[in-house]
Amino acid sequence: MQLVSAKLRAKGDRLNWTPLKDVKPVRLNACEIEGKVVHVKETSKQNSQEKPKLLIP
Amino acid sequence: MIFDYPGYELQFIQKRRIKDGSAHLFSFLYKFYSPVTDLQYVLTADYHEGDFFAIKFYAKMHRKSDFKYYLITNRGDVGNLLVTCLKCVPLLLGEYPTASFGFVGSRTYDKNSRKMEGYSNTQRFKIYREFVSKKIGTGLFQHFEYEEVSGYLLINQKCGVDPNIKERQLVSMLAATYNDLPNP
Repeated sequence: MQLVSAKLRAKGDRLNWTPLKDVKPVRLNACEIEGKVVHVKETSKQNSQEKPKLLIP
Repeated sequence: MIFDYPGYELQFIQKRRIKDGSAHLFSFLYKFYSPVTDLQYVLTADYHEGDFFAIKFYAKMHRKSDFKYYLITNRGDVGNLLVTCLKCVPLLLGEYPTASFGFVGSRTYDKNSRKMEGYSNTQRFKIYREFVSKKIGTGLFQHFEYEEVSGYLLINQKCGVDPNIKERQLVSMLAATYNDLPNP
C-alpha cells in the first residue's frame, strides 16, 4: 500500500507525463519551427539597484 | 527576482573533434563544481556549421546514463549552475567573436514513474529562458525563443547577415542535423 501511494505521488504521475515506452522520436521541420523575438525588458534607472549584472551587455 | 549569482569557475578540459559528417564539427568540454550540491558538472559547447555553439550540461555522476540530460538531481543551486554555464559565452566570444549560441531545455525523466515530460515548453526551458533574458542583454545578441521545441537562440548581431536571416539559417541547420531526435 505504501509503495502504491509513493508511486502515485511521483512527478510523472502528478503531471501526467508520457510513459517512457510511449515516447516517440521528435522529427524537426524547420518550416514548422516558428521563432519569436524576445523583447528583453530594460530596467529603469530608478530600479538600477535591483538590476542584475549582465554577463553580456 | 534578482539573478545576481556569482557562479563557479569553469575549467577547460579538452577540445573534441566530431567526425560524423554532420554539421556538428567539434566540442569544447569544461567542468565545474558546486559546493552547494557537492556535485561536479560537465558542460559542452558544441560548435556547428554556421558559427553556432549549442550549450549543454549535465551532472557528472550521470555521465554514463542515457538520460544524463533528462535527470534532475533535486539539490538546488540552479542560479549558480546557470550563471556558470553562461560564463562560457564570453569565453568563447574571445575566440569566436561572431558566434551565435543556443540551448534546449531538455525534457525531464522521472525515474520513479518511468515517465517523460513532453518536449514543448519544458520546465527547464521556462527557467533557462527567464534566466538568459536577465543575464544576456540585447547589445550583441538578438534573442529568439521556440516554445514548441523548448529552444532558445542568441543570434550574434556581428554575424555579417541580418539576424532574422541568420536565425532561419540556423534553424534549418539544426532541424537538418537533429531531424530525428531519438528516444533517450
